[in-house]
Amino acid sequence: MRRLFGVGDLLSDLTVRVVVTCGTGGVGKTSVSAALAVAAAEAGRQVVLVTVDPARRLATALGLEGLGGEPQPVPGITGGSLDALMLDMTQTFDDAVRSHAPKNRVDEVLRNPFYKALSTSFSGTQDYMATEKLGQLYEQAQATGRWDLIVVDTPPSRSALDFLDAPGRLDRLAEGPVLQLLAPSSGPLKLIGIGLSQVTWLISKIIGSQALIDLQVFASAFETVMAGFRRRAAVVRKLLSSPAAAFVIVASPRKAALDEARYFVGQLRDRGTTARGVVVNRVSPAVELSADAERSLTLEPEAYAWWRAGWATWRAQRSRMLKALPASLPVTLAQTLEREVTDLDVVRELGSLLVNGAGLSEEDEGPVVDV
Amino acid sequence: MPDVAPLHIVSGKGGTGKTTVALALALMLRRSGETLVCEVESRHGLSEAAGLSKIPEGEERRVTVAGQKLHMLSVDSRHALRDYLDHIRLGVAGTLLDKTGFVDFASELAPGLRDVLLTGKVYQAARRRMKGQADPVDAVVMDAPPTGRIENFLTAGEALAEVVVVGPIAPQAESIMALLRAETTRVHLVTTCTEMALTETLQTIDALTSHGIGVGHIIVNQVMSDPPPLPDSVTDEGLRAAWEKDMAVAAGQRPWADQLAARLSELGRGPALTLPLLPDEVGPDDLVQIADLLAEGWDA
Repeated sequence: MRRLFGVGDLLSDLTVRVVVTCGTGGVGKTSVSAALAVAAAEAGRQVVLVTVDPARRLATALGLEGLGGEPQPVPGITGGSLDALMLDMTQTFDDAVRSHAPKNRVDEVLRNPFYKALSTSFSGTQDYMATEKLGQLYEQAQATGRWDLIVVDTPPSRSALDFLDAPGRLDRLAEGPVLQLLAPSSGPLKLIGIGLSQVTWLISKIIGSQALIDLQVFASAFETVMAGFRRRAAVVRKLLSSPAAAFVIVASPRKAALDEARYFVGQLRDRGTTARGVVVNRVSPAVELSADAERSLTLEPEAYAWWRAGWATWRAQRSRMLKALPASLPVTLAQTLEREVTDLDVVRELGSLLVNGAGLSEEDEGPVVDV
Repeated sequence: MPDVAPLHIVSGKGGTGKTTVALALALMLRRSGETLVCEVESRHGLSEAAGLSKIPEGEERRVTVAGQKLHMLSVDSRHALRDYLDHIRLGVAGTLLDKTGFVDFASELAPGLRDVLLTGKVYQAARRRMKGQADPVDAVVMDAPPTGRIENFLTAGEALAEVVVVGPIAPQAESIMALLRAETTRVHLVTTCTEMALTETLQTIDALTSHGIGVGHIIVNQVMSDPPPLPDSVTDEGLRAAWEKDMAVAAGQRPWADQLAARLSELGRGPALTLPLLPDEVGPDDLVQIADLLAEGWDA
């Protein structure tokens, strides 16, 4: 038996202030995040759930119509409390500009065509904004005591680690030559062997000279905004590398999802963090039959074939999980639910599956009858 | 003179099996000509689904999948930018720009630039036969980003056009948008018979249509069939419960299938194609089976 991932213990550990779920698309990460948040709230904690999924499906699952960019209470929670919010990228970005940029430059930034495109495009921006929002919520939680647990569903980007790395990337970008080059206030740039004009000429060859001017205006105005972002990103980075943050990996029994889970474990370790455990969602354990029961089922060839196919699927899933998941990683399995996660009752059902934890056994029992 | 090769863009909600369908579609199209199957920034999902070892990013390879020879390409933004610089005769600048961090900047922040460069690679490949270049192909299949990002990905050219009016990238963005809106380009959407996936699919049809991008087939994947009746002689309670659950899951798909059919007919579209639930890891035989199933309904 693999070590069981004690989801209930994790959620009731008051030193844990942030739970971050990581996982590839299509494993039910958003549902699992909601289930963790609901389970923690109903165990008495004051929880805020941040979701970043553009499909607005969590809103339906939590009975919230038009879940907005500000935390809204989820009705029907007993015990503690649960607020939920959806990351509104453009709004978070605009708010950040208003709070970080000098008053006289706010409009200039908000009107710049590069800023407009940047704040509405999804490439990478979402990760920065998720970081910004997590930082805001954490500071708010510290200041007001409104929440003692933040559950973050990471953006559906190319990799969930884009979210983790966003603070570092922001630093590299701000310190990197491009922004310094484009922002005149940084002063003359001394690149070894490369003249300033050559580089700007090159960039203008690619994007055109008018765009280069817009970009320079944007970059100079954006410098101060960047400084604000980086301040908050530093808070987030410190938080995420502290024991107050717990990373939960979400996978499914599909090979790609399990490979991704193992990859996350390695990547987290490289960043000095340990994943608390993995939730393998949507597994379909087959019913074990006694030898007698199995023999009597063979009298019904169609039904027997159905059961055997289910057994074969389950056996393949189990051996794939045992092979792909590192032995040191605690595991809990959540069975495929009969219904989709579209109302609070199903979210609760998933939550109790997670808290009650089904382990991954290493014994391999197969059908006893050979046909 | 031959035209640009038809471009089949396959998208779908994560976990619906879009990569498998893209690969099977390439096998189906291979029956009528040379076919390129490519992925964009998806970390070798395609070669993995085909049971092949990883092919290096940015390098087109000839591979054999289920006995068929395909062209396969994994496009990433770094290579795409280098190739683009070569194309506009600024090849040597690549190293220089890489040193200044521009490549990171372009792929991290410059709105739409990355996506335009990625699609640009596919665009070049689709025009090889038309331009009499080496390795011509008759069809191109793109394993595209999932439905959550597909609208932004395919309309990146529009976003880029708003900030970049002149310079060589502007006409490039424009011709890519023209290709994406062409009669020969279709976006096929893979879904499962669940409320969330279907809702996202219907929203994506509307969104792409509003941008003038043609939606091709809707492919309902992983459809579970009803279990056979469990005879009364079986008394094992666990087994009966499992049976009832399977029946409930299979029956739970029906209302969504009906709703999809009704909506597609309202939109004046043909019915969706249906594919069965296969084992978690598909092998060559499964891919051929899916290709056959796709072929049955493709031109209907």
